[in-house]
Parts: sequence; structure tokens; C-alpha cells
Amino acid sequence: MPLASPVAVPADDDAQLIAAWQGGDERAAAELVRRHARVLARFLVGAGAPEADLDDLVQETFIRAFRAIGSFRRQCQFRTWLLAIGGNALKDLGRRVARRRIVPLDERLESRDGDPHQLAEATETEERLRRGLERLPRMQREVFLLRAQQGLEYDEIAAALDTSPGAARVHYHHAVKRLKGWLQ
Amino acid sequence: MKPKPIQDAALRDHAQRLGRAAAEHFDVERTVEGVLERLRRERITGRATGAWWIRSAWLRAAAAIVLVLGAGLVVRGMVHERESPTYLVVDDLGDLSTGQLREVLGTLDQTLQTPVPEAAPEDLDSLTTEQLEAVLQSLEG
Repeated sequence: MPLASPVAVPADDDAQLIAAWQGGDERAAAELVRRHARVLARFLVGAGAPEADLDDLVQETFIRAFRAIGSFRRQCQFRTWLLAIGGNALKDLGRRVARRRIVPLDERLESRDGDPHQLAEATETEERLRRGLERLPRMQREVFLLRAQQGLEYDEIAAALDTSPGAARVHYHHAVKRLKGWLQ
Repeated sequence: MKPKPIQDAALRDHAQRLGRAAAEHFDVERTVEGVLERLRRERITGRATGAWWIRSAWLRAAAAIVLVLGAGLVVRGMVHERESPTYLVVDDLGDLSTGQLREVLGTLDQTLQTPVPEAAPEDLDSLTTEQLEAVLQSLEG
């Protein structure tokens, strides 16, 4: 089952930037944010983050990561570790605020090119997928996104979410089965 | 009409599109500025984090060493207190030659043969009242 290739980010470069930041170079922190902010934002939206809170959530995730960087043991890539922290930040936000604002379908169609009928159909499916993801248990949702959206291997997902590769595989298959049932 | 079952590949395609538009419009530079400002305001630095861990580890190690050394000294002191003086004397005597042992025994004999002055209550009877008061005062210091 071929998966989308993950965006190539040389882990060594991240390690060098982390070391530079630990050496006091603030520019290295800025570069780490530039590298991973968009991917983190996409993951958070997929996981149900309100778009109005996206900037705050991304910032909060990076702050938590920089604060805890001494505990990063390179068990997975920095980006995967960051996404797992983002999942925690989103969970904490969910406790504080109401669920995300539902953007009207027409508003989203305005930002896309192509056949309006096909776009409407695709957007509707995405919206149902997003709602389906919100109904999943957190572990299934995050494993599904890391696998299907980010294209990560089970070993990498398991290391980031502190579970086993076998358990990650089971979570993924449960998520797919339930999402398919809701999307049909 | 029966709905079409969604395929795995289609599900992944939709998942990969999730949040793409939001990410494209995401203002990365504003986030960079925001993160750097918070790092400065909250005094979060990679150097401080590392140094703190190092300092903390060294302090813990030093405290452990002090505790172990202190406990060792206390235990040693207690063991020395419990040692019987008899064993010490026997150890010391074991190191003496025959001649030295004779000298030690001779000294002991002299000590034992020295007469102990006996109390003489009649002496007190011969003292006057003033003399007795003077003795009592001297005893009281």
C-alpha cells in the first residue's frame, strides 16, 4: 500500500539547528519554526484545530518544544516529536474553548481553482472526513493523520506517541474502517 | 442509489488535502516573531536549559557524595565507640618485649602497695569552731 512520501527534511540539519540554539543562537530557533510551522498547522487543522486559534496553537507548540528540548532523545524526527506536542496542545485548548467554528462551504470554495462541481464534492468529502476525525478517539485520529496525511512509518509514529508499532498499526486500521463507514 | 464505497487511496488523498489551504495562508514569519518574543519574555534559552540540567546533575552527585561520606564517618565513629578497651590494652601489651612487660607489672605493684590515707575523724574534733568554718568555706569554694 504505497503512501505519500513524507516531506524530506534532513534530520541532521534539525539536529544542527537544535545544537546551535542550545549554544545560544536565536536564529536557529527561528529557522526551526520556519521549517516546520506549515506542516504543523496542516496537522493541527486535520486534528480539529479551529483556524482562528491556529497561530496561537502553533506558537504554543513551539514554545513547549523549546522548553522541553532537553528531553528530546531523538527517538523520532524532530518534526514528528513536534506534531505529537501539537496534539497535546490542541487537547489542552479543547478543554478551554468550544469546538471550532464551522466555515460555510461557499467560503472555502472561493479559495480554490477548478471545476466548481468537483470541488464542491471534494470539499464536502473533506468536511465529512474532518467531522469523522473529530469523532475518533484521540490516538486513532493522531495515528491516522501521521500515517495518511504525513506519510510516516509505524515505527516513527509509535516512537512519537509512546506506543508500539503494532499498536499504531491497529489504531490506524480501526480509524480507516470507521472513517470509511462514515464517509460512504 | 447505493453510495460508492470509498477506497483507501481516496481516503488518503482527502486526508492529505485536509488543512492544506489553511497551511498555505499561514503567516509563518508572524509565527516566528511571536515565538521569538515569547522565548525572550519567558527567558527560555537552549543554553540555560542545558546548563540548568548540568548544574542540577552535578549538585545531585555532590549531595550524594557528601551523604555517603558523612554516613561513613558516623558509622566509623560508632564502631570505634563500641570497641572494648580490653582489646586495645591487649593489642598494646602484645607489642611489648619481656623486659617492658616486667616494668609495667612493677609499676602496677607499686601502685597497689601505696597506702591509701585513712580518714581521721579525730583530727576534725581537735579543730576550733572558727577553724571548722574556715574548712567548710574552703570546701564550698
